[in-house]
Amino acid sequence: MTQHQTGRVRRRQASGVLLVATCIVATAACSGVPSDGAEERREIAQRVEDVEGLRPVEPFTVLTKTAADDPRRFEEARLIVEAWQAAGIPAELEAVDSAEVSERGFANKEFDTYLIAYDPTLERLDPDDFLSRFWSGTAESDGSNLSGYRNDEYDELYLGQLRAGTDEERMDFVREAERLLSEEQPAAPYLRQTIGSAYNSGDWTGAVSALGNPVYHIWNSLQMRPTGDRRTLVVGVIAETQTLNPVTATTSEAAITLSHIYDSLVRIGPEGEPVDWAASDVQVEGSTVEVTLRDGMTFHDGRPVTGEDVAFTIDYLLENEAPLYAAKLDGVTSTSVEGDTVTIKLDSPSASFVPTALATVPILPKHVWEGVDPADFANDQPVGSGPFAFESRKLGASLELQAFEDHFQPPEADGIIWATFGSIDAEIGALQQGEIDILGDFLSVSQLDALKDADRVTVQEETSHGWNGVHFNMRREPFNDLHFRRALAALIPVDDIREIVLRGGGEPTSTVLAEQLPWHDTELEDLSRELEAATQEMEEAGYVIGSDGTLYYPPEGEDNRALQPLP
Amino acid sequence: MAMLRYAVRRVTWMAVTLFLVTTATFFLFRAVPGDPSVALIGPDLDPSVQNKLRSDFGLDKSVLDQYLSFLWQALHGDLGISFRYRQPVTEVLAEKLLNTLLLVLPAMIVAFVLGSAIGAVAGVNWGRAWDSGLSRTFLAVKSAPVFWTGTLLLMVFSYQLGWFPTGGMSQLGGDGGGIFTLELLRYLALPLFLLSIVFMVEPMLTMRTSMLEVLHADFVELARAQGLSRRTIVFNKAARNALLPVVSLLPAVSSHLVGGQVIVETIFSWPGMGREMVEAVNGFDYPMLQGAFLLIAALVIAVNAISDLLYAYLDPRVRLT
Repeated sequence: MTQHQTGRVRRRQASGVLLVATCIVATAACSGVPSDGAEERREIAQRVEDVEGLRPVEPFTVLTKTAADDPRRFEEARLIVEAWQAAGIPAELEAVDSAEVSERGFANKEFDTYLIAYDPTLERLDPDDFLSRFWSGTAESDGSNLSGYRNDEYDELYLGQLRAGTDEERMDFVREAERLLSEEQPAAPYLRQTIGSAYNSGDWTGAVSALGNPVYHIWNSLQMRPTGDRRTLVVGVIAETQTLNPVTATTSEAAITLSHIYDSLVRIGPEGEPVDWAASDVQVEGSTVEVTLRDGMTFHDGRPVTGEDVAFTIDYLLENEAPLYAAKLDGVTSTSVEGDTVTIKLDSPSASFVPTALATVPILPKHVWEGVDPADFANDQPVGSGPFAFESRKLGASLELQAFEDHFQPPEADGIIWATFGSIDAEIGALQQGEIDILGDFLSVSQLDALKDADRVTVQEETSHGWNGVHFNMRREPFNDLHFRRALAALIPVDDIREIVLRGGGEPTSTVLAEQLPWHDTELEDLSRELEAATQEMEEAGYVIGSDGTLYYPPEGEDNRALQPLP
Repeated sequence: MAMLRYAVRRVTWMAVTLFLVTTATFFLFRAVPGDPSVALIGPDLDPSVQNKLRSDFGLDKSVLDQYLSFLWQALHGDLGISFRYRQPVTEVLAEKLLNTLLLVLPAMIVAFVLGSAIGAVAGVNWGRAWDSGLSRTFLAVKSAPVFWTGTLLLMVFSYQLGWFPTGGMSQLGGDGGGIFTLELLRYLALPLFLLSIVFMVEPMLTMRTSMLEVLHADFVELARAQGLSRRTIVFNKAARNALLPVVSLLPAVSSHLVGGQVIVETIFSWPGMGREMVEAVNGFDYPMLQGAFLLIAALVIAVNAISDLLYAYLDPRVRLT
């Protein structure tokens, strides 16, 4: 019965989106100039009459989620496919459900082009997350280099930034790597979305905006002060934290919740810089990281936090392959403890170790976890040393934490509650009624606009440091050709996507590293999104179009493609 | 003796059906493309953890091995560990089932009691203004999509009038206390009202039709000839007999007791079985789905078996077939 109903709900959503999509298409068709074949086609390669012996470019697909799963992404993909088709490129839309998208994109690499959206996570404030996605070391089938980009020059720059001794030295490598990616376009980032959210300013003061999340972040949990009757901060979320076990948790929602219960040695500050947290000092010398623990810290059960706990945690998370943390700790070869000082040895110097690993890895109490098999351990009464201590949990409804007054930075509120909602509309409604204080999810531009006039509610916005873009699968033709990729990138209708799909909620981009981060090279020129640029690339490589409109690979002798060898 | 033999046969079939349903669901969920490790990896979780997840979930073993260990555990009352919650399925199910029962059971009681009463009134007044008013209202309720009616209720009674909370089951950030507090009634009011009127339509319409038939039956004529009062005829004679088809609706709706109501739960953010099962499907949480479907199947089969046995007891002819 319930399955049947599920199907009904899905179909309803799907048909709704379909209706809207149809309306958009119909409007576009009516308002545009009536198109009549060849004249309207904006072809981007030279026309030839004789196509004897030429090899056609096979039709390829743009992999994206279905309109029911992700309407925004589906619409963006549709506009991109239309723009490519209008230029004579044989692209087709291929919308499949979320699980299949991950399977083909991340697990099997079975796609031609893949429309992706990278969220603005804390890890991505460090350039390593994005840069590692184009390193040949991650190009294998279980890696995160979706494009399959392999370039020795790039690999050197990538490893160079990782092993750099100083920030300045690292900056040079990062910028060169960014420039190379921007030129070669193994993936074409085109937009950074506006991320906006809102909080209950009628009952709370002291909220700040942080890079990567305008409202819902640990600094607001700590410093927002109640001015009303309720002294516990209530955060509305759609996706609840399903397990409080840091060793088995897999979702970014869980990572945020856990960071309230557990301290990390370092935290990423509101400005995106790593700041010392449970560590009073962090020294990096080559491949050795020396951490001194802050004095007088205790776990929620009263036992002191020691260097032993830190060393134990690192070994334990590695040994049990904790999905959220083990990959970040990958390079650790040994840990040793001397009093309050923990020495971590890495297999090679890593500039990203402190801002990604140390800033997220939770310090677990050795006395709780020692001898526990984490796979069978629900950890439903978690003991950490963080600013909030576990109070209660109702599955599917709420998770409540109390302020931990013995913490070195105790929160202003008496506690924090995550309340799980059935839909984003219910969450917004609850904020307007003052039942909750913070929206834990990002809102669309129209939802933000509607809230801007609301009483006792304040909207805050940032530009994402993640991006929406297209991964080209360079393991396949024709995406192994630099010119073809640059032509496709130039044809992405960024302005249309921004105006029509996002209603102005985003900034155009053509590089992986966000413009607002210090790592970005401000002298880097934006990729041209003009038709001429695409035409120039295609003609330079030698592609031609037959009289029936079919796109062909360059004729022999005129083949100037810049190819990465196929596997 | 015949009754006993019938009961034994019936119970045996129950067990067989339950086994077949469990087996079918076990393989059906695994036949859906994709798997739980794939649903988790993506931009925020490195694809390299996939193998680790598969071995954690026991998916690296053969399907037959998985099936046998599932059967063996289920026989011992162990439904396994949920992939999403990483805690025993029985614990999660118990919590969600309680939430669902809190909402659905009262709604069903209200719906059947009130629905039959209103249906009786409409049936007696067949063709008059009363009847057409009532049946049109109920048909309108039945035709209106639940998500629309629910949203409308929220807009009026929560957002505009502020009488009821916008959703959830209990006060956030208050002293809360246990589940069974007076406060719960405020949270229960709107979803209970909505679910009651949705459930009420069928018993009401069934009762109305059935009443009409019964009112023309011989024994009613006889009662009339005996000079009994109209009230006695309608409620003591006719309504009692007209109630039988309404009662036979019960097994059909009993699956909601366990399956929950996903749309109502979503609108009112009620943490019940309906939402749980939708999310379990999306997250490929096989143990959770197996547990939930086992529970639903067991309940539906049991309710049907009980009603069959009751029929057999009430009507000797059933035993012979």
